[in-house]
Amino acid sequence: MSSPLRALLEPVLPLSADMALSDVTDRFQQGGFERMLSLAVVDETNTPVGLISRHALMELLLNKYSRDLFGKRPIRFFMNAMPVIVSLSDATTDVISTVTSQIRIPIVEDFIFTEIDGTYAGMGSVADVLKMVEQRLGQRNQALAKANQEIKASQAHLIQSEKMAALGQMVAGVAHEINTPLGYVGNNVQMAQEMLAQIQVLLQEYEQLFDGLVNQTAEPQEIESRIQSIASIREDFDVVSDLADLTELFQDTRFGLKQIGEIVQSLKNFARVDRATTDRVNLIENIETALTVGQHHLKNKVTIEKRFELLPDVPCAPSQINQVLLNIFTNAAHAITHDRGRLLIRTYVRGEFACISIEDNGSGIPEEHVARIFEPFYTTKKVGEGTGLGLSISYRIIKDHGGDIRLATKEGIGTRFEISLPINGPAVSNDDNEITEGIDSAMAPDAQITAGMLSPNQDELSEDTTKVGSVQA
Amino acid sequence: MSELFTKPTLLLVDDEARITRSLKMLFRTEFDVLTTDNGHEAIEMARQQTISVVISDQRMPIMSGVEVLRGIREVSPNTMRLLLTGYADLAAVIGSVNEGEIFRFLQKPWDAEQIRADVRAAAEVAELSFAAASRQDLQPAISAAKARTGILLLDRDPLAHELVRRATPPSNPLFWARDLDEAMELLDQQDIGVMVADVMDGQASHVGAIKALKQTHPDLVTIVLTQLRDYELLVGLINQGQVFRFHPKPGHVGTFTKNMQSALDYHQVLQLQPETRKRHAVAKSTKPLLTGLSDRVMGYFRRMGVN
Repeated sequence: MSSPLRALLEPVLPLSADMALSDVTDRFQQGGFERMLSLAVVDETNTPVGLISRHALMELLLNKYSRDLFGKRPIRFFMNAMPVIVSLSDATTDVISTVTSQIRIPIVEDFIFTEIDGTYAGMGSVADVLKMVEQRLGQRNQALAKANQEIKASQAHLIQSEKMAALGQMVAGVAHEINTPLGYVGNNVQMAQEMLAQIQVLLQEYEQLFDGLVNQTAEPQEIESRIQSIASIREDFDVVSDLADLTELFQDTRFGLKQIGEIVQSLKNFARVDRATTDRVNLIENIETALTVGQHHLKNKVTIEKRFELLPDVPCAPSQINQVLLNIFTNAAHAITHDRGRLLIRTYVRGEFACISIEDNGSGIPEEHVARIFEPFYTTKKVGEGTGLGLSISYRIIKDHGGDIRLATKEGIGTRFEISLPINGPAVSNDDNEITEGIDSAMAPDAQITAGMLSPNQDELSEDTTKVGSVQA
Repeated sequence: MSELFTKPTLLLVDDEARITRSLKMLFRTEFDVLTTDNGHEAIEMARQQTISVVISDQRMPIMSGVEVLRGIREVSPNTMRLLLTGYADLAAVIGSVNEGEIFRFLQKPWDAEQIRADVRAAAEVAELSFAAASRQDLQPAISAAKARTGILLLDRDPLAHELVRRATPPSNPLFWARDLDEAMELLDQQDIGVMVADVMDGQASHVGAIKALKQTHPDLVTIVLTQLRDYELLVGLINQGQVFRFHPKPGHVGTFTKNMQSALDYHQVLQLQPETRKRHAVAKSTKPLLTGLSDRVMGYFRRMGVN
């Protein structure tokens, strides 16, 4: 009983093709196969040749005298000679499709099972097949639901690990950013300490000389030796210029400490752990924070030009907006492979939206990639260098804010991203910006990138040179 | 202080003026300090005047530190080269050794006393090297000795043996030590000038031994052949092991042959000009070098005065 088909098999005795109609009627009356609507008819080699149903038999007997007229005739004259026959060796799915497609409606018959050699095995009920189909659908649904859950879990896991990877990179970059000021601050303090020790010795000599002179207790040769000792110290240590140097050292030190403080502050701002998740925020501050945090990617590589128009405070989750900005800055830095790197960041208001435009003169995005750029897991980076989630998450974040993120790009010229956020927060019901769950919907069809949206500037990436990508689902 | 002798010249290359200002003040009593934020300018300075020691930052806008040091090595090979960086950049570590042949890999933030000691040591070596260079022709004749210099491989890996065998010139004997004990024996008995070693041999680390060997055999030139990519470990091997080259595993025969040639050449320079050995003077390790080695190997190093 290995095949699930065996469970459907009803091993009722078949009728012989030569059996008389009246004997067949007797068999039906005797019963013993109440679940069956019909019985199979087999030839002398036990091969099924037809099938006779209760329904057909009764229709026959409804005619007056038919039992008297035809009672002696063999059943083969009355049977359905084209019954549905399936083999026990068939695949279950094939059996299901044969039975459900060939069975006649209304269902008044069963179907016949044969052994592998084609001989009669038993009957099968269509109702049982339907039950089996239902069961299988249920199982499949469960499996699909489970697979769906697993995919969601692994996507969430991937997003989380992308976050952690980005965070790790950022922290490493920022830690190194601190090493330079920490280097000279530490050195300066160590030198200042040494200088202070020298000053102390010198001052002691002066004090003793002074005391000796004022109290007139010292012998002339003692005064002479003090003066000599002071002169020799002064050879190594020039009070005027060395103290001036010390002042400069302290200036640098304070600058360095301020810089370290700013880096630490920007990290804190970046995560915004100490603030409400949604707040009215000055987006220009976000830009500055993300620039500081992303500094190690941009430093020495890119000149940053800021053209900021004042923006009204915008309700948003600042840490998420920071994440989006950092992602775009980092991408820009990666796209710039020459040493004339330039990043133009502009802010402006357009209607009900506060906008940030970020334009680089990097390699640009090839046409074939533009349409897929916001797709999750789409990446042109090597394995291990990017998960391809950065921009799809950015897209999701901005869409969830009721805003939009668009790009214009031209290979060899650069890329411009424009983020727009509604000044009054996301509209309550907005069909275009329907917030859908899960990242699988990140590629919403409304992400049209239009030339008109991204043309108002007079820079290199102007309308005529710009390859305008259109993002479609 | 009266200028009774000429101070050696120290060149500082960094794009952060506060770094060069700070270091200049640290060194100005002992050195004539020059500063620049431009790598091209640094190389030009080294071409035009005698610069004993150069300390370069790694990440700079125009030229990376490794490029600056490689350039200086070409125009003034006797200038001692130190890299000072705030970034844990593996490529920089490997480049600084293979291209810059640096004396020390220093990290920001640094300790003033430590950097003073390193720069003083570098200046001392530079003085000897420059003096030696003025006495004799810098290009020693290819001696017969070079052709017979032994090469020692310390690595169980048969693929490494195959690589080293193919890179070894036919006249140079190659010795294969499967473990440290065998290596010690061979070093004692044979005339070995170049050692190729992996830093890890299964669970056993050769790091301590590689460092210790530089103290007992100052003219032994070490090529590290490894797949390990550990920043701190490599930095330690530069500063305390004065490793001559880092070669990735599995190695490319062409580049490895070049490295082998350079190592053999360098070994000969070390032998003909003993003062150059000091170029390989190693930094004192804060941790004991020798742990987990066999008693025999430990005894060997103890007798040589290494702990």
